Amino acid sequence: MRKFILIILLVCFLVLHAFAQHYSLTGKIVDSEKQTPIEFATLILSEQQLWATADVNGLFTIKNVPTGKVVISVSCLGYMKTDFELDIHSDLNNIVFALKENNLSLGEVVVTAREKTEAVTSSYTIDRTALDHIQTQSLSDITSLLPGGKTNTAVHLAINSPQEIELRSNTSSELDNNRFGTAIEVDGVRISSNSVRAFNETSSISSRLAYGTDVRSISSTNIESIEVVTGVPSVEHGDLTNGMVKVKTKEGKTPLNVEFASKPHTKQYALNKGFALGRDGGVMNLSLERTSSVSDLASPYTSYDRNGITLRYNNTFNKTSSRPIKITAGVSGNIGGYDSKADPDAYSNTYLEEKANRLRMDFGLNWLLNKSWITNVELTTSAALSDNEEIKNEYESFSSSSVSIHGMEEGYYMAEQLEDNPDALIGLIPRGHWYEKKITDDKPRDYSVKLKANWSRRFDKIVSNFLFGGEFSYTNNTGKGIYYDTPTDEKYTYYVPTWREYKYSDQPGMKSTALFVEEKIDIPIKASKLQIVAGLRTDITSISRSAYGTVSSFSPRFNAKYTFWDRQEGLLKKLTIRAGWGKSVKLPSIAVLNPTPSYSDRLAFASTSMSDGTAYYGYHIYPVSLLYNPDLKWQSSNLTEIGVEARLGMARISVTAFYNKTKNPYKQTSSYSPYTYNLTDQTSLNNVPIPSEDRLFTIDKTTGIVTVSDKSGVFPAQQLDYKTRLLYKATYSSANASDVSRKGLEWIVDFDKIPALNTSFRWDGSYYYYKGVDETLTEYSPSTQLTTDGNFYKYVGYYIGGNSSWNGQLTKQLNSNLTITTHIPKVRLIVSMRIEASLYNCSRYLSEYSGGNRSFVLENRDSYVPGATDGDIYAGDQPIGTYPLYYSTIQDPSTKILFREAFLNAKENDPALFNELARLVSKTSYNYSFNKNTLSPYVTANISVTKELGKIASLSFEARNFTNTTARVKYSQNESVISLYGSGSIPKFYYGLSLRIKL
Amino acid sequence: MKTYFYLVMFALLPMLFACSDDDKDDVYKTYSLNVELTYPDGVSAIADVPVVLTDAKAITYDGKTNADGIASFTVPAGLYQATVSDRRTGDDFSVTMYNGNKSDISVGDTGDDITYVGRVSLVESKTSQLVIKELYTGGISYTNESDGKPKTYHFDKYVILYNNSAENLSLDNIALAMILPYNSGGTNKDYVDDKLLYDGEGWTPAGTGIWYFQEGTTIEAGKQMVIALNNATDHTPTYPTSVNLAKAEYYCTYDIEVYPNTTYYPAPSENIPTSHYLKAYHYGTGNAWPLSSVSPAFFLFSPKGQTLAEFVADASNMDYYGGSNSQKRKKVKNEWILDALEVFEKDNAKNLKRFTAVSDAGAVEITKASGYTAYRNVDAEMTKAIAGNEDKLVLGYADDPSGIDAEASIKNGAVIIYQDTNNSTADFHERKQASIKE
Repeated sequence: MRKFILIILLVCFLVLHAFAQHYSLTGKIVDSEKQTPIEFATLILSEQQLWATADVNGLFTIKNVPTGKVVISVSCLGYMKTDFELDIHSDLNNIVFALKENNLSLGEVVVTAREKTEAVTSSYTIDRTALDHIQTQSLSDITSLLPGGKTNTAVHLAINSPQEIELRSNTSSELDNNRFGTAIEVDGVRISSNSVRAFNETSSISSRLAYGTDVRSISSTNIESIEVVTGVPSVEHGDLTNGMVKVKTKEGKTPLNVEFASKPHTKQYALNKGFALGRDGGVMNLSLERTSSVSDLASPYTSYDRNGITLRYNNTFNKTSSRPIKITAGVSGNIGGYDSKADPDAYSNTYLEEKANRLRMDFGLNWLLNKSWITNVELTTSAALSDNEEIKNEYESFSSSSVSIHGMEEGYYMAEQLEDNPDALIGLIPRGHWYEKKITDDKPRDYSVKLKANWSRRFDKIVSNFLFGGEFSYTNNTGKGIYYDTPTDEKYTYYVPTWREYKYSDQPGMKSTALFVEEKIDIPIKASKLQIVAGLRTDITSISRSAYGTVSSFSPRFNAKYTFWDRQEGLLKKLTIRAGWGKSVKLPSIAVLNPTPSYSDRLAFASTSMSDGTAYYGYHIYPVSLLYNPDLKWQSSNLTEIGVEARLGMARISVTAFYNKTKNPYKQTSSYSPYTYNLTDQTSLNNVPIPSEDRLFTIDKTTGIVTVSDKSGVFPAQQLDYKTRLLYKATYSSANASDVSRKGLEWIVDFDKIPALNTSFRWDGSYYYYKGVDETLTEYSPSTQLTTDGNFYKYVGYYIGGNSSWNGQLTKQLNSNLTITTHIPKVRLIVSMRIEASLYNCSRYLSEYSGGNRSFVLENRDSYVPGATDGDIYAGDQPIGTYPLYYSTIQDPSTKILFREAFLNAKENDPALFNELARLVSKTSYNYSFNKNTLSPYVTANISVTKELGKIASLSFEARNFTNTTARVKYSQNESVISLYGSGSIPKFYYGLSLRIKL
Repeated sequence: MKTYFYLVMFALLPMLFACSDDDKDDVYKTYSLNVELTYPDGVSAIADVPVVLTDAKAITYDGKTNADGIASFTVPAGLYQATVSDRRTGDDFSVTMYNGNKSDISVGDTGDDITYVGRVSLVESKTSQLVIKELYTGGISYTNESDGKPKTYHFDKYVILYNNSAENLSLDNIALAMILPYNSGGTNKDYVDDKLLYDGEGWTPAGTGIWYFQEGTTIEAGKQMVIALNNATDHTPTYPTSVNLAKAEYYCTYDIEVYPNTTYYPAPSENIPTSHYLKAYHYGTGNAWPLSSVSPAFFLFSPKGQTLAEFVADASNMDYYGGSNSQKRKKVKNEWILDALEVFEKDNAKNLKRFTAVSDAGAVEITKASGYTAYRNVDAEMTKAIAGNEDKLVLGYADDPSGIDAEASIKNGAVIIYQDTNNSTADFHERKQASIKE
């Protein structure tokens, strides 16, 4: 398949070769009202991949423009981007392009996500006016503007977990980690979470191996526009499965903008300005922002702060020549994070502080070579450094000795008093009161270099753009990992609790090389136009010192768009069809490849406590880490899309249908192996004549036998009796779950403004369908439970897709929004009301197995066996049981015995075995567990107002859920009725005010 | 000569009067007295029931009945009061007392050789043999010296069991258990239509695990057993307002094979012998037995017709709280429950009962983290009925409705019988200090 595509591209390249005439254009760009020149405006001919930058007098030169119709896009910060169409047959001089200033006095203002109609795949643009209108405080707020999107229910940023973006998916209980697969880019610099480890430490073996990018640390006030790609992205972009969010910050000369926004939980202050550095010095954009969000208005000490500074420089050299070079360089920093330190109501000296310090640097060079064999060369380099240090100071106390375990090798170890041996592998913290200061030093680093070139050719009327390039990226973490600090303080004593050193900086980073080629052909056919994009990307990842070695994957992508016609008159003015298919691969996170090892500490010996509270404990330490899985495949997604766009009468209609299949989603799986250890308890001390204060305990590292000797030398040393115990040990490995599929339909209908009412309507919505069932064989055993004979549980069950009653879920949702916008240019006012409706929301748990029945209806709630008749588990209101497919015993772990027949047989003939195997049976929590859960429809509404006060200031007000609805909704699964108020399905009633001043 | 004879006769005359039969010989004369006990209908007399006879000068005579319920005494004449308390232990761990007293039994006034009879009618009262005397789970508040902020500590929990009867009690096949949901405030998923779903089905849920005694453990008659529920060490050096559980006669719930969690179950004090460790059967999830420090529902039970091991191994008596597979509990038949105690959180308007009325119809409210305990009330009637107790009882303790200060009375040598009407509202009070704290 891949070879076929490569051959096609090569043939196109060689066979098609034409000669065409080229001309140059010169002219001036002016402000339409004042007729003054617009300095540093940008002109782009996207089909031909030509561009130019105007100088300080607004003058520009573009050379080598081919004959025929060209579309020139002229834009400048602060002005409306305008497309001009020209028919080129000769050199053109003294062209004047006039741009209108971007403010509410314009005839057309868009405060929703605008579809990027020139793109071949589904993508949307959100500009500054829309961001100001909905008062964005965090990047995750923008998903509400996408078709069927819902307003973010998070009211503030002061939460102890990352805020992520998800596109085209709606719940977090889906099998694949969709938020991890959404790529976020700011000014071309990818903000990746592949090396972030801090959040993975909170649970030792977490079911979620990676988190998506935390967008809270990205400044929102200096964003100029955001492009959201939900369809098949260009092969230029990799390491994603669920779309892209591309943020572009302000670039260009601007007056000084001062902004202030106030909401109940968040305050925002910002300053930005674009300076022109002399005639040919380029432009420097500086922006400063402070956003402070608190979680509790009554006690405003738990907060999230964002103090961002961005400095961007851009300049075009050789503007008037035929080979201009544009240089961009940027530095962006953020200092802030989550902090609960200042809270006077918390216990003194106990706090949690999580930094979110960021530094991003990028340098880019774009050279318009304009040669016959190459048009443009672009080089971008970037470095993103983060400091996610987390400091947690906690208070502890205990009335007898407690252990602090540090051993990392397998074996038996005896605890020692810290005063005798401060470096003891197991230390004894004496009784009393103390503090523990835990520091998580997480410093992910991402570096990348990208070089790409494109070659634009024109063959008669056909325009061909050939893109090729490569990208090299490296990600690693230079943090020390988790460690404990013991500062000397006269007031507080510090100890180190159970902890093992694991330096992230000792683990290898991940190198990734990508190569991509893409051919884009625009073929006009009479009044129609056909655009085809075909591309191939290969990602080669290598992790040194990892068992995974070097892995390569191919991502072919294909998009086509056919515009039937696009004219100004008639009822059906425009009709376009587009289709796309693509594959993209998500690289695993460092946590999947090099997980933090965890240790199983099993108590092997306990003495009695002496009067001073000292007791001696012995432990068996067993290191557990994620095993290398040679069958682990990289998670990838195949996306198929088809869309129709039409301009029908007063409305612009766009409908997109997509089918997305995620293959090999990452998951964690466990396996069990038997092992024995020796336990010595206090009864063995009954025969020891040595007085307790003279006892010295030692344990043999390999056998676990405890010897007690006499410090005073009077009595001989004695070996203590022990008991050998057999149990299963759980080990974990990364694995792939079964494929997950999603289908959806998105539509937007934009009605033109009704002039008499100054009002326009937009109706958008989405239908979403998700089905994910995991049929991989998973092991589970309640291995640490004891049976009444004192032994550990002896059996392991092998289940289809996990030991829960269900192994999958089906979700269907239909959401629709109506946005009514009234825009009065004379008064420079825009008011919009957004009605968000959830029309259909249904989910259901699934228990499926292609080889038979996974779950069945039980005889009755208390039973473990199926009922007499084969009931349908989805019929509703019945107790459902699930058996594992096989089971194995600890004496013979490799033999898998079919569970069902053995269990039903034991019921009649072996009640003891029946009672024990019953622990492997899963029963539903409620009789209604498998009922379809349909949430009754509900509606909420937001209202936003923006008013410009002259040319200097602009004021915005927004009220979310302004009716503060207390309507009730019903869950059909268990017939429960709840009030929407405070339910979490809708945003809380919330309002915000922001003021922007231009000086 | 004749004159001397008459003089001597006159002189001897008083001597004749001086010796009289009605003199001291009359005071030392004893009589037979039979005290006959009259039992309520259907109850037969038994031998060796103590009967105490008290005379007007407060001198007591102790006797025991024969198999017909008759106690024989040989006493001097006088007026007597007979006090009887027949304390019997039933097979179902019950203590039934037949008490009565009769005053004004006159002896010696109607004749010398007859046997006097005093009849005492006995009235029945019942209580339990094995009772929870005190439950302390609330923990204490203490102030950290370095910053002066109050914190709480609750690993000093203990329970005291008490033998209300006159016979030693074997603790084989008896278990300590608690109801899941662990707390009384907040939603209780067992409530369906304002009624507990197991009310009427005859069982009570025992959550997550049970503790049982090693074979051969007994509580002596009239004695208590202190069981440390988490940490059997001396807590007072680290937390001065807490208690000292490191005493040789105490017991502890400690089983490192089942619960190796050294935070919840650190090594017990060396003073406590290993035979005093209670063992556990664990069938739930987690690695500790999480008895609530706010509002526990604690009980003792003993299965009939099966051992505790058989009861735990049986999969058919498993129940899930709220249907959740991780909230496992076992169905204990109500007739197996020996004693139950429902504790409510003080000042919480949402407390819901977890025991059904047959086990515990009420609840005692305890303030958490203040060192307060739930202490059983004294059964005034039965306690005062025990011979010799009345003088030793210390009164004036306002928290107990009977007014009897049980601990002070025990120190004074009295024998206390605690009340058990299966209603914690009537049977318990909040004691402002742990009874084992000096």
